[in-house]
Amino acid sequence: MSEFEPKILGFLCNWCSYAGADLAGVSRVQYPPNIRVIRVMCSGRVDPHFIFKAFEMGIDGVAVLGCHIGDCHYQSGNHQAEKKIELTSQALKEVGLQPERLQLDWVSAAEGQRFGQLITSFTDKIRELGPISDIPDYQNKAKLGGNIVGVTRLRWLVGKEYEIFEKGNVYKEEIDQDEYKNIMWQNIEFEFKKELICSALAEEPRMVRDIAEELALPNKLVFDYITEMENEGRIHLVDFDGNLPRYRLAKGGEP
Amino acid sequence: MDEKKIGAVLVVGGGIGGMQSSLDLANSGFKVYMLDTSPAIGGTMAQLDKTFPTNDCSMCIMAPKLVDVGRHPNIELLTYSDLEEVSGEEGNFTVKVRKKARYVDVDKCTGCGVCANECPIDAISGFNEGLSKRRAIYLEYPQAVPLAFTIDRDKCIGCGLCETLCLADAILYEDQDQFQEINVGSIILCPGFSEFEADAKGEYGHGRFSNVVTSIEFERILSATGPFKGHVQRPSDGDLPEKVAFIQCVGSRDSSCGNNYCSSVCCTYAIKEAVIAKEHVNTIQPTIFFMDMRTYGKGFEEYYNRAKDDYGVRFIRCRVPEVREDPETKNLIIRYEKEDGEFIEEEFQLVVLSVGFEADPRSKELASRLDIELNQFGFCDTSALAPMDTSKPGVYVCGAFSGPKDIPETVMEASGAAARASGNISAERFSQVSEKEYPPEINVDELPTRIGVFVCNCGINIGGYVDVPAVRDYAKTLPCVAYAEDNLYTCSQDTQKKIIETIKEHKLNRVIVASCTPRTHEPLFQQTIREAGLNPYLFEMANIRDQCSWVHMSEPEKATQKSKDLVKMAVAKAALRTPLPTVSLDVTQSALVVGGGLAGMISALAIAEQGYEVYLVEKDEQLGGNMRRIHYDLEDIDVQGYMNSIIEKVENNSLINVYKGTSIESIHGFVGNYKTLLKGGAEFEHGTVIVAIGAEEMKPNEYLYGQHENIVTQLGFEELFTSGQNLSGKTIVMIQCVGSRDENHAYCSRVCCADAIKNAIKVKEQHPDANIFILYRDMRTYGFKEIYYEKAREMGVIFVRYDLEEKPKVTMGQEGLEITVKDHILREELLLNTDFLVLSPAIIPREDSEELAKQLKVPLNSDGFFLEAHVKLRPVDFATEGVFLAGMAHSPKTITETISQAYAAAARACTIISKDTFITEATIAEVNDASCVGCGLCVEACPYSAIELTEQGIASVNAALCKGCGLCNATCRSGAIQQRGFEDRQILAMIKGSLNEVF
Repeated sequence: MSEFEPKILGFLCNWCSYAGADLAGVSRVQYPPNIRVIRVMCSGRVDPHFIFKAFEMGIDGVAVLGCHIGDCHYQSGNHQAEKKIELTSQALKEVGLQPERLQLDWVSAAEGQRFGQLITSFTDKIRELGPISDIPDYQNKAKLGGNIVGVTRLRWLVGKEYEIFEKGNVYKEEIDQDEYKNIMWQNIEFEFKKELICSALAEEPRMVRDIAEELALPNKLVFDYITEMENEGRIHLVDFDGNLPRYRLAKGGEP
Repeated sequence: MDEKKIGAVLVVGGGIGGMQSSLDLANSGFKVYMLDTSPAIGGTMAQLDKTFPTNDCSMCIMAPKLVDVGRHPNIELLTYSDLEEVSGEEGNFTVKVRKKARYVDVDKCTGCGVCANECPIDAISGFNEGLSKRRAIYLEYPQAVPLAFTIDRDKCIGCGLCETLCLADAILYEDQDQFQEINVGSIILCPGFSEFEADAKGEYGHGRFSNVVTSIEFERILSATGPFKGHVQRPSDGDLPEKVAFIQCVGSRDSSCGNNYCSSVCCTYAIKEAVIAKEHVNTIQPTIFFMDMRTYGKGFEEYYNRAKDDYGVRFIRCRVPEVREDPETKNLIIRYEKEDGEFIEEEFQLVVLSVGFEADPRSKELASRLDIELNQFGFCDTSALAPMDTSKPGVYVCGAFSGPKDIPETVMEASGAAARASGNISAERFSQVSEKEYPPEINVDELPTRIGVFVCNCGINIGGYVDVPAVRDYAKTLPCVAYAEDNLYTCSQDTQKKIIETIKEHKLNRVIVASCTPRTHEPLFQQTIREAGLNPYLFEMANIRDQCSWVHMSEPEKATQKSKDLVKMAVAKAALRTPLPTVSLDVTQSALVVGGGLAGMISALAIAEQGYEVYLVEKDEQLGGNMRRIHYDLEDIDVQGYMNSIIEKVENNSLINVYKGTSIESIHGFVGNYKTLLKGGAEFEHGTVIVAIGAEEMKPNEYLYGQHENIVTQLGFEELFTSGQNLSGKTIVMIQCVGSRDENHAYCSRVCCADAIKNAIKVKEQHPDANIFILYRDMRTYGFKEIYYEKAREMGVIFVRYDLEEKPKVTMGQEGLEITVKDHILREELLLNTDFLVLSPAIIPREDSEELAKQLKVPLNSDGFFLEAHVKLRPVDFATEGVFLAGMAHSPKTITETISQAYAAAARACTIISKDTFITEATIAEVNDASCVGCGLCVEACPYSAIELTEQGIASVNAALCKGCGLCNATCRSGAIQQRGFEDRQILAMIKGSLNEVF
């Protein structure tokens, strides 16, 4: 069996990193041929959803490269990219998909050499991590991750993040960055648990304690989530098995 | 005057300057004839490997312009031609042109090169500076425009082989020189320069020692298209050199060869070549022997610092007396004096001579035919206040023909010359040109998707590493692909024709080119498919050269696989591409100029001369800016008199509306359609904006400034001197680089060396007994300013060099001001009892730069100066369409340079406001009203305020403001906003397409 050749996907912004990659070519900088590049106008165009979709399809590593901070062709685009990638990394961690498989970095149009180095070391790193398919259930995990970053409140929080830190919140107050991030991370965690519960309910109606046992979570916690999801319309109470309630997914509530 | 004026311009010289002038003129409605003596346009820049200070690949940034010029409907190329005779006068010249016989029919030649492959005759390649050979039938360089061969009649033996081989029937042995007469209103001269003949400096051994090369030869050695394919090898044996010495000022600053001037660019290009060599091969140890390090341009000082600190380039301050060769090893021995007086002998494997600029003897001939004056060194004579005007009305100049200069300065002057050349004939705009007619767009909505794939060999650039036929055949197997072929050069003009035919023949409705980078070549192919009746956005590119064949040279199989994948990804996206509309918007044909200093006033006058209304806004109560404090310049021009005449012209020009003592309250709109409100209430509409708010002298924060009335800045000293202060017998000490090139400001402020010398000479002229000391770090009197440096020394001004680590010390002693500085020649502390201490402070950005940048949504660099769209080729443009830049707001510069740039900004602005409509970008964001929930996240994500929520609570995109970044798309909760050309489904299709089963 031949050595593992990682599949690397690169999102490169048109103005700096793509130009840097072109410069690597003009300078004949050699790097591993594993990367496939998608040109976007700005690194901030990269939707977290794309990244989970790529992992779900079997891509082993994703590099998002933009202009250096301060050099963005679109002023704040790379700042926005930074926030989105941070969120994505956290969600990767949460679902158990090695956040090291995602890398955000900056390459200027004059940094051909640096581009080559970054791709070489990233490819090596992914080679060491091994195929994403070695991670048990990676496709499902990626799918869950994709759902998490698609949740309205997370898209809202991450979409607002740059502006809130720059200009303050609606009350013109400064917001503690760590606190803000914690809120996002907590939401990721909650969403993940909820997604797990939905997965557990995918086949047939089940009882709280069964789910809790399968997911190794306290009954109380599972029930709290279920209540919340019931309120969101994602889960319905089916019936009572004796005095034990059974739940199922609402239509459209599939993971 | 009865003679009719002609709305056409002759541009003599097809280098980067000539191309810029031509494009600006052609884009503002004038017919251009571009004449070049060479068989291809491109000039010196085509020979360069990289450009400083961004290390951009020269050919890469230039190629799109070459192609633009080659394809522009308003530009007629007269290559391999000489200007024979000129008659007539300003506004109406008749020019007789000799088109030299090239023995190849330019229209028929496809540039395939079969002829040259078999031609039995070798000749020396001028393009590769004699380091390699070409054949008697040859192409100047691979990307040449026009892409057509030429027979070198001096070498050709007439064997007839090429005619037999040429399938295109393009060989014309019976060809003869032809004469053409053209009628133009103005003439722009940009024939460039020639390099100093290094053999003339026999002591350096060029021509005798094979491993002594000139800088332009080394540039070719570094180039991937050069004689050694970009491998840094030395000519004697092909060995990789380790120690490489650069010797500066070869043929510059040297009265022994009559070139007393500084060639301006050699310091920075030597740094560039040293850095690039080191990037090629890390073991190379470059050493640069220099006298003064003249990295005075924008970003150059930082470049110099990086070369020292990050790349380990060694800099030794010493004029090298001679180079000797070890006949055995062909190594070179340089004996030099260290600053402490010790002599050292060091061996190098390669020596590069940084040769200076000289006036081209052919240009001298040209000058005599045109009857224009040259200066003492044979360069075109211009005045400090009219840098693009020759001595003959209607004949203008740009680039190195009027003195050594770098690419951005050439480009600025080129745009400036376009403004000058068109000013007098502006009434004849559009009289000699016709609009390019395109066939109607084919409606592809209902048609089955048929993709055509063109895979480029790029000579051997791709074909040498990637199995191109395999990629082509693979493409044929992909869904929706109806046709695939491979080309030697897909970008060549003949292939464009072929693509158009193929689209029609095979009914293609999506086209993919797998070749180089879309950054340079997408527009070319988009135009080609448009000519075939397809919307330009039905085009997709796969970058299999810059990002594949060139970077995986040792892994041809994997590179081939990757090329296939990249083609597959392109096919996946192309299948989902739809025609994108552009919108044509009305343009308000007037300009706002912000800043009423020299730059702003000149820009305003130049635009008014073109016939358009100008709104000039100055925050002070008076026009003039910094110039109000300048009284004379190096060339002893009456600056105040000049300024007053300019102010008068501005104030009396009926097309210029002057607003003084106010600034911008708000500016809304976009290219072609701005609405500006001034503080105080005035409001007007305009189509373009020129930023010319200048910069200012920093208030020094060292050397006891402010604590003694005799400690002044250069501007302060100038005022003091002109107010009649008696300086007879006084001791005046000037300290350079106060707040520049240090921890305050990393950049060089460019003007201070010449300013100090100007003031020193002025004082010496009136008071020969005054003692003047200039304490400097490097004297940066670039170009012809060097002559004044020499003059100052002759007049007895004493120059003492100091290091940043050992700055001069200023103390208040009992006798007055005492200054101590370490003298590097005497190697001891010098104590100067001083009457006047004059500081040369940094030039710093205006405080209001930041606010204006925000209002206009344009960037500043890390030093706080406005950041142009491209350092080399778009020096007066912003990335934001319709906004331009002139004067010190860009970076510190002299009066002359400011005038050039101000004209340039005017010419660039006129490319917009000379037309009554503006076509918007196509790859903008679009909202699907039905799925938009009106949350407003996109409104906040947009850096350009291009999105608003409508009264219905739905997002709406302003097509003219949207720059197509896609930030809104990545932020949208509901997928309702999509960036055209980069839609979610298209990117997802590419992700999917990137997977293959071969891994």
